Amino acid sequence: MRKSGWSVSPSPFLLTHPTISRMSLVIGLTLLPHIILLAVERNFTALSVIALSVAGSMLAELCIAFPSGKNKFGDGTAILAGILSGLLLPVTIHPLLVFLATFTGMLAARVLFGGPGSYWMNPVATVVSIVYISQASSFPPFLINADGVQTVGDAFGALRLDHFSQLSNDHTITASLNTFLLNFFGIKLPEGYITLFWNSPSPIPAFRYNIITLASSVLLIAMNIIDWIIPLFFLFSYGLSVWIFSLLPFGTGFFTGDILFALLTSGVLFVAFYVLPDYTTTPRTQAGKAISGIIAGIIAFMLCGPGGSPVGAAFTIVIANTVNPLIEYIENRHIATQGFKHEYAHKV
Amino acid sequence: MMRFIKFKRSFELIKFDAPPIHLAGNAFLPSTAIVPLLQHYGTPSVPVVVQGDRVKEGQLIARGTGMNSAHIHAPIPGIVREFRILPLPDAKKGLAAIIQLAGSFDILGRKEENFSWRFMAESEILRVLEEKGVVNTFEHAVPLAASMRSARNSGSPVLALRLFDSDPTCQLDSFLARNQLQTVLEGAAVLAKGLDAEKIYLLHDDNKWTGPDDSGLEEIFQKRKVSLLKVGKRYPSGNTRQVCALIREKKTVLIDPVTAISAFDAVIRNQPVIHRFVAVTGPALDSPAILKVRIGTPIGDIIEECGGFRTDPTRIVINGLLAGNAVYDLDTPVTKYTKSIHIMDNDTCPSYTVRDCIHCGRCLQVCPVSIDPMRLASAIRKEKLTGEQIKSCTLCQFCGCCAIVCPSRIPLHQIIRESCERRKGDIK
Repeated sequence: MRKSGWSVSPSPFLLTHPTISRMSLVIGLTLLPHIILLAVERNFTALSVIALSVAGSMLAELCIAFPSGKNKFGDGTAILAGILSGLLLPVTIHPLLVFLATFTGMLAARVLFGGPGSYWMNPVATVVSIVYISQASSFPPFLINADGVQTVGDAFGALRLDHFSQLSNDHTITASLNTFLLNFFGIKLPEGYITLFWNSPSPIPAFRYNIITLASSVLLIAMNIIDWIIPLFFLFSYGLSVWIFSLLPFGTGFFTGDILFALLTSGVLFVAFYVLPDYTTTPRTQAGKAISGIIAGIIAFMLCGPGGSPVGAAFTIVIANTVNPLIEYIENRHIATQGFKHEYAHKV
Repeated sequence: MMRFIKFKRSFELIKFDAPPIHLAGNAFLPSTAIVPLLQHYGTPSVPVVVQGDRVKEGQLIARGTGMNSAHIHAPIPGIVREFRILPLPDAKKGLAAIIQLAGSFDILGRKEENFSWRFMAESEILRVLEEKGVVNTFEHAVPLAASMRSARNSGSPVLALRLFDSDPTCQLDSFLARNQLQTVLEGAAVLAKGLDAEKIYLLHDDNKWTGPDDSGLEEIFQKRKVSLLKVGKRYPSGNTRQVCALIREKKTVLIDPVTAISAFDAVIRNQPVIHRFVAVTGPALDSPAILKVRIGTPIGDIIEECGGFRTDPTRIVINGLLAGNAVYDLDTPVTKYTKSIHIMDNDTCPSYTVRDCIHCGRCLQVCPVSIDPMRLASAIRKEKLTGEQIKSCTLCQFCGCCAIVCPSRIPLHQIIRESCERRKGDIK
């Protein structure tokens, strides 16, 4: 008998999606520029926060995997969750708290909230929430205050009042963009937004490099690594809410909010593409995902307001994740009837 | 050439490389034929020869034992060396007769017969189909004569001929429908007569029917009513459940081009089923081709005839990449239900590890019958199936769409199929 050395597995032999390990790897690679830029800026405190967070996450994974005897590091999700948590924590936090909070948060989210693969609370958001509840003072305050907004009449103007330091080439880039691109559409970009895109002034690393987050999101959606429905509906509903209502309490009326400022200052973009679409915590149908995204957007508006919130985005995930099981419950009931409708259609 | 397959319920695409494939004629005769005694769903045939017997080409070597068993014939002349349990293309093991080539040929090289079937009685056609061991390979291989008798006895039977592959990567049925349409249609006409079919449906997936016109079809099918039905190209398409839903006739016998050609050979050429057309392709194969292969030929011999491996193969897949089986032994023989052999390399078919479900919902979004494969498989694993879930198992078409899109690589449809087979009694 001529034996071969190749493997035998059940069908199918053509697959359309990358494996979980590959998905984790690609997401990890898109986070690499954030880490490189932190290293270039010599922000070693932020790097040590990330390292401790990864260590805490891996230890938690080891504790979960040990009783079952399964190797859980193979798919890279523990490392990825550690990096994401580290990027969402402020650099001013005590290192021991980072490690303990990540370890506890990961363990709690994965064990108490349903076990590996079926937990309904996002571990990264859980970690940030634990840290905030334990040491709220380590988080920066809101970027803008009510007095500032009332004085100037817009959110970004209020930030400028508060010693906002622009990048040295912000003026040049803004002028070029206005002259060569935006002029054709009748739009004029005020100075300072380039700084918010490229290096937003925040002690939380994930909030800083919005342009990298945006570029990465294109790659992740194009490669079918993340679902586009949830981020799209989330950003749309949050943006719309900000535009319509955000400055209403300050007497400037409806439709005066600054969407760009809101998206670039609260870590909303980062959370929208890296944390919110976590498959484990979201509904499974496209309609369910859309509803979840819209609800998350509304929650984000309630917590972050016109922008500049340090933890609003993370708490948005926590609250949205408590709503998602309800959406999924309705979704499951709908699915159960769908199959039998199909059967009926065949019999007619 | 890169081809794309669309899902029925999703905009995602299955991408696969389909190099141009041509009919390369008869394959070399095997020096040793491995003839399994079970080449269809049902019970194995009982050998009528013993070790050391000399057999002629096309001689009966194992007799079917009932309704769900078909006769087996010697594909080559020779000496029965032994009976041995060997791996089969359906990933199971079974008893096979090992025949060593010796002696002269009674079919090969002789003038082909051309029997006038139009004057045969219906029962005579069924008897010939049974005698020649014809099996229906539409979905799972089953003895053809028995299923035709059953349909006939229930009155007003209908014949449906699918002229494309239910697994598009298989390519054989589409090839035969394109290149041997006359033989396929005549074989179907023989079966329509044997069935005394009221109506014949020709299912095709081309934008425009390129076969014989109405008068031509009328002549082939002896004035029986023939309907052309265009079926969508999205996967899955053309399986039993879908065709039955499309036709909405109660007693339908569904056949594919391979079965029609077998019927043509049995009734018109007076030949038992001793060979099969097999599409041999894949990125790790040197020269893809379609060969007319003797049953019992080891797949290793066929690969060798197609130039051998171009690169290191990772998997050898029988009967399509979406719904087929992987084999590990080059001595696995070609059987009556073998349609294609794919030799896959590491780039197109890498090894993977099955992980825990991540709850992405892709299986749900792609399922053509709107069941929930993830929850169903999870309930099966926990042995906590509800009555509703047991019922939804029966809706599954086992097309594998859920497993194709699964990033955790969970063989969802296989889990559901296995549970269905185990619980058949409960479902009834």
